[in-house]
Amino acid sequence: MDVTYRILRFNPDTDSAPHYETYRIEVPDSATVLDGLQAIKDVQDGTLTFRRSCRQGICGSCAMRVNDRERLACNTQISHVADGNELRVEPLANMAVIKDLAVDMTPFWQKFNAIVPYTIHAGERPEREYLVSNEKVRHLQQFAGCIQCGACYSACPIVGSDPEYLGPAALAKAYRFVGDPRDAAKKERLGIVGSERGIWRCHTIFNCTEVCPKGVDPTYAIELLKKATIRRKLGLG
Amino acid sequence: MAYRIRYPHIRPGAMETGTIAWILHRVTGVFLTLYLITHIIVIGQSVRGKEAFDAALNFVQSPLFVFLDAGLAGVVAFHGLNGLRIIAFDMGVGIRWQKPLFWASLILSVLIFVAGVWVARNLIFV
Repeated sequence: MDVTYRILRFNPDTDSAPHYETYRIEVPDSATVLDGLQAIKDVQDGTLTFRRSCRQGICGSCAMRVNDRERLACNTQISHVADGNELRVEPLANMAVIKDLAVDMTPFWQKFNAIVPYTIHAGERPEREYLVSNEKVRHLQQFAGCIQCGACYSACPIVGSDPEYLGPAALAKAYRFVGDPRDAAKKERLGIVGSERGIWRCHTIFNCTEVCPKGVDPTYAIELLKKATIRRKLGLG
Repeated sequence: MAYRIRYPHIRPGAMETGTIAWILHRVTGVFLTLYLITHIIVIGQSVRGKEAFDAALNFVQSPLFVFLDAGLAGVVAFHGLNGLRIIAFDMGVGIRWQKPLFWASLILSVLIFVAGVWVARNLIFV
């Protein structure tokens, strides 16, 4: 299969603005977007910069914008998304571009840390494991499945308009703990996410849910956090 | 200098249903604000006396303004229905039907607009 990659490139040392560069390559019909990028880097242009690690959709390194949508380059087949054998590849939005397709995810991680992304235990520790019902696990599994690739963070227009907004990934992760029966910091966590820079800034646009490569539904998580906050304010639990 | 891409999903052709709903909600909100200001100016003519108020009312009875009234009904309907859609999601209801609920809100609003034009057809198409 003959594919044309149009890649939005940017070198901070030499460029004042990003520009598209075009590469034509021959790839197997089953090739992924990442396979093609790697082939370009190996054979045509070693200066092409992008992040990748596991190649199997679990490390979350290779999220980028392919034909107008955030995707993991490694689990996106070219034949599924190519527009007349053409791919337009851009870095994730809402984050400063370091070089070519690599973005500075520092704000993303800071917001992730802000919601205290680990379980806080209280009281006596049980002698055996903490029991969590099957129902609870099924409910929380999708939120725990986040691989922190940043696709939702890039797709969210509110992150674009308010750089201080916590964003879908951090809020979905916050719900993963708020909904966890083992966690003893529900009140504190709802306090952290319940600001105007948190759940109340969300405009329920669903872009995060649309683009998540792991089937996480951050909009749903944010709505559940809103519901929990309202119930708490009304004294219903 | 570093750069960053912003609002990549607000491009025609790249918009998801939720983005269309979001933008329409904002646009109809601006229309409602402009309508409210216009409305206050028109009604406010009453403090300037009978003649001024009659002149203002005559002005807004032109076919164009009657047509805009039908448009207003559609704008109010969409802003209200989509508002209810979002409030329902905040209460944890109906989030799985976000797309059909948006299209239902939009179609209903357009129908209300068309019905408004039909009802006022003798005042618009004179």
